[in-house]
Amino acid sequence: MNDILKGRYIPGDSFLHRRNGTAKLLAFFMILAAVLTTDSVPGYLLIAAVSAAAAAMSEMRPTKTLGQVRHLRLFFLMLFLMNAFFYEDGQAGGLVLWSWGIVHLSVPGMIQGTHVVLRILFLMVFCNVLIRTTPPVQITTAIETLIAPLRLIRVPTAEVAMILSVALQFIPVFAQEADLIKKAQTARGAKFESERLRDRAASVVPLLVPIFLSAFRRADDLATAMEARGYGHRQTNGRGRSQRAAVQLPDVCLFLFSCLFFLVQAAR
Amino acid sequence: MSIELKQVSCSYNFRTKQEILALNGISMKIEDGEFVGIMGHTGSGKSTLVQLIAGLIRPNSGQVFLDGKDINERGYDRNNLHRQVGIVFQNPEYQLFETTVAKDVAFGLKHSGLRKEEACERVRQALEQMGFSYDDIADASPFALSGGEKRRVAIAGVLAARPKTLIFDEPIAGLDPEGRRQFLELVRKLNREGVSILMVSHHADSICACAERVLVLEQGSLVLDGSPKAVFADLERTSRLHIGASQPRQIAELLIQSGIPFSRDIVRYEDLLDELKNRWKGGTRCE
Ligand SMILES: Nc1ncnc2c1ncn2[C@@H]1O[C@H](COP(=O)(O)OP(=O)(O)O)[C@@H](O)[C@H]1O
Ligand SMILES: [Mg+2]
Repeated sequence: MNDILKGRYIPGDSFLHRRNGTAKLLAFFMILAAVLTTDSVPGYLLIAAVSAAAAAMSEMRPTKTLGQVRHLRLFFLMLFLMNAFFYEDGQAGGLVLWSWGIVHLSVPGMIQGTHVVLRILFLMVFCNVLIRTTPPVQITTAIETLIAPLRLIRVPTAEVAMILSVALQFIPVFAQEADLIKKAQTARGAKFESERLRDRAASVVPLLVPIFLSAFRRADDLATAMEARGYGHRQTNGRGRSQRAAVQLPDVCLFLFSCLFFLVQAAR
Repeated sequence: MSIELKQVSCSYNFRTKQEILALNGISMKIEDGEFVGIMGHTGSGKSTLVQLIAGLIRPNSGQVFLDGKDINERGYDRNNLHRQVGIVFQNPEYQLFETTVAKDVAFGLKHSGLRKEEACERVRQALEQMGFSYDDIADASPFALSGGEKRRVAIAGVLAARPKTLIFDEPIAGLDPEGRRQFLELVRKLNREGVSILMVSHHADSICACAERVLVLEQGSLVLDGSPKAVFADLERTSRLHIGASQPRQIAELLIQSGIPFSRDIVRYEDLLDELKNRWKGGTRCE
């Protein structure tokens, strides 16, 4: 659970730290689109180059951009194997190496698996760079700015932004509480760090039930506190918005470069 | 069991820009059966210290020995450690999760290799120690209980493992006076039965009433270690360390300040009473 804490915003003064949150978020979306359209070796090389550039611009060591990937290796392995064994087109054209019932180990499946794993890996890298260089408040402000036009079709954008910012602010609180509950259960004999999968699975419930309960408790307390301070009795449109940083030339450049990146990837 | 710390330092976010040195070169030894109070300003490192002893976090340097064995050494049996050292956090009721009280209390015994009847017997005893009647409560849902009952069930869950050392991290914060009295009664009884107790608390009265020894932390360093009387001898110092003083000690100080010759060796109500009785008998009535 501490991993959530470790993935948090890290104060700094790098090029990316100084960029406007909205520009960063937009650039992130463009990069996301670029990553999802990539399916060739040169494409991945280009992404790798861009992620190295992002690491450099945020003054992070490239290995740090991977964040908690190490803990997810099992997940990535599963993802790859699922694709390798269950890829539908395996029967159609591709080379099937081995078959048993509905399970086919196929070359196209393995290629597909590699694609999925690589894309998610790179998405996590960019996500990490975004989160580490942008304070949560700036992210919510950026989202609020981006969804502002939806107010025209009566989407309560201020409320949505409020929900997001409350949720974001609670992440470290929950991480701390989860850490404490984990310690308490460990002291009672739960085996979170056991090598055996069975032990780990058995220790999920002792962790999840108390965390959910604490989430409800906190939500309840917060709702009471907000109501006591008058939230919901007034028109809330336009309130609670934090000051927006001015958009500067480098912000625009950042966004344009990300668009260019997407176009290059998509055009291939 | 004896607990020994040698030059233990511990940081959060070790080797990052946000590194916080929570404990700085702590050395101390706690003998079998002691009752130790741990005090200090918020953020002075009390929780970090007790979690190190319980093996829940690891030091960055230095060693923690339980019965002479380094608990952070490779191959140390951590399950055994968790059975021998129990820890109760401030809101233990938040750790409940099972469908029935009996199952929740038995949680810690799952991996202990005890026979079923033996485990069941321990659950019964733990619940009875916490003032419940086993038959009434065993099959109730822990979430249907009142706040105070939940807390007692959670503590029973720690007692069931029969730890030789019990750690309480701010156990009485938020308890009413009667709850506090019952709780202190319980820990004293456990201590009399031979369990070593480490109790973190801001409540000087409770610490003075129970502990034979008080450790005071300040910014991660152990600055005082002695009997309650020694620790609370100098009230200016205790107020600087944010640990206050017990009521009887404050009463004694007030008397002294108003010019009445009175002993400073007073931390418990019994001490105050003894002193008053002595003076009364001696005929030197306090005016
Ligand atoms: N999980 C954590 N992550 C980062 N810093 C922490 C964590 N827990 C405690 N600290 C910091 O370590 C220091 C000591 O904390 P703690 O041991 O909880 O003190 P106490 O229990 O005496 O209030 C404090 O400065 C606190 O902010
Ligand atoms: Mg604490």
